[in-house]
Amino acid sequence: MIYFGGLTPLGVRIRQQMDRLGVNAQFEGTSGIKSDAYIEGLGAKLAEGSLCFLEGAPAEKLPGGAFFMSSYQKQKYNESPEAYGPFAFAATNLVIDAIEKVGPNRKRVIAELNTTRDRDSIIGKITFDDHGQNIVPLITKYVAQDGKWVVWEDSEYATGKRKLKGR
Amino acid sequence: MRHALLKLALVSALALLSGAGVVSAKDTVKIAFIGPLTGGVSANGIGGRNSADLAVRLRNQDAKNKYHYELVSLDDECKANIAVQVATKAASDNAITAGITHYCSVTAIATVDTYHKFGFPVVVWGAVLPDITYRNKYAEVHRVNGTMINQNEEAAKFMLKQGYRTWAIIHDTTDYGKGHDKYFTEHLTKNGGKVPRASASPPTSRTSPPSSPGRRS
Repeated sequence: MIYFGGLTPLGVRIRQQMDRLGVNAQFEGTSGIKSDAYIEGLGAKLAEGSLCFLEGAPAEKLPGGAFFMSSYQKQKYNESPEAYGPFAFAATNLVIDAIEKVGPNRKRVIAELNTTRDRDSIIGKITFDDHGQNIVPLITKYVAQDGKWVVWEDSEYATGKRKLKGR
Repeated sequence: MRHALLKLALVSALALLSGAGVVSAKDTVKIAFIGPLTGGVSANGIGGRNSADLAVRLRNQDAKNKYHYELVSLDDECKANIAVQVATKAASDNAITAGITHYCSVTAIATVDTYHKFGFPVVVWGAVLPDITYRNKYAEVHRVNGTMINQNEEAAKFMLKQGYRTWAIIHDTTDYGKGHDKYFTEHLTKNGGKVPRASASPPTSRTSPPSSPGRRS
């Protein structure tokens, strides 16, 4: 097993190096390589079977996720929202909700944000602890399959049709 | 005649003014978006920026809203020093109420003191280093995404369940990479996995494609 703690550009280089040097190990990254750019950088064949982990539920599986994806497509942005786009969307809505409620005053916005509990969003419920940290119990596992990051449970690796290296 | 013309001009000007008044009946509120819009991880930064922009556009279409929102996008280049500069720019601008800030942990952790000093409310949208929210107890700093502690616990348990036992760990030597190394190793060894040795890759790699390949362990 090779575990890599870093971001996409270096992740692509390390996976390429493994291939060139014939290191036949299973490659596992973090949320830092959960980007389309990782798969594009390597090509579908070399990326195949790479694993990564991301906090939160996959946007497309949540009620608001489909709405987010279709609204995003309607705006015709040239780039994909990538792994953390839904988080940026949820964060922006949270800030706007606070401003709508208490007005554009920084102190009042801070106080309002700190009361966030069980707020529905496209990344699931948002609850801030006393450090302002969202307590997200859910982590989603992804595997690169045919040039896409696929949720592990939906992949052919989970059904046993495809196998990770060394299994 | 001249008097009548002047009167007409005045009336038109007033009509224009009141017309403009209807259009801008809502006060505009500015929100900053900060992320890596250039450099090696810009795909994530731009994806985040577009998503924040989408949220603003959708809300501005809502007639019930009290305010009109404007997103001010700033590029932190995934570099700590640049991040402090743009964070200061946003936080010191009284016209900006709050910020949606940072994808890279190195930038998010470098700027918490700035936001605290200026009393500027931020919601971190992508950086996973635990210290960003847990090193201090700053009321200004919030984060919607989880930390790398949760992520690595799940990762370690899942991989052990797949039957793997021995790992080589490579990280990028930043606080981000070191944190992943620490929490993954911790959860792995606690549950019976082995890490003979960890190895670091060149630190330049987090901002741009590395000039030399990462060392393998």
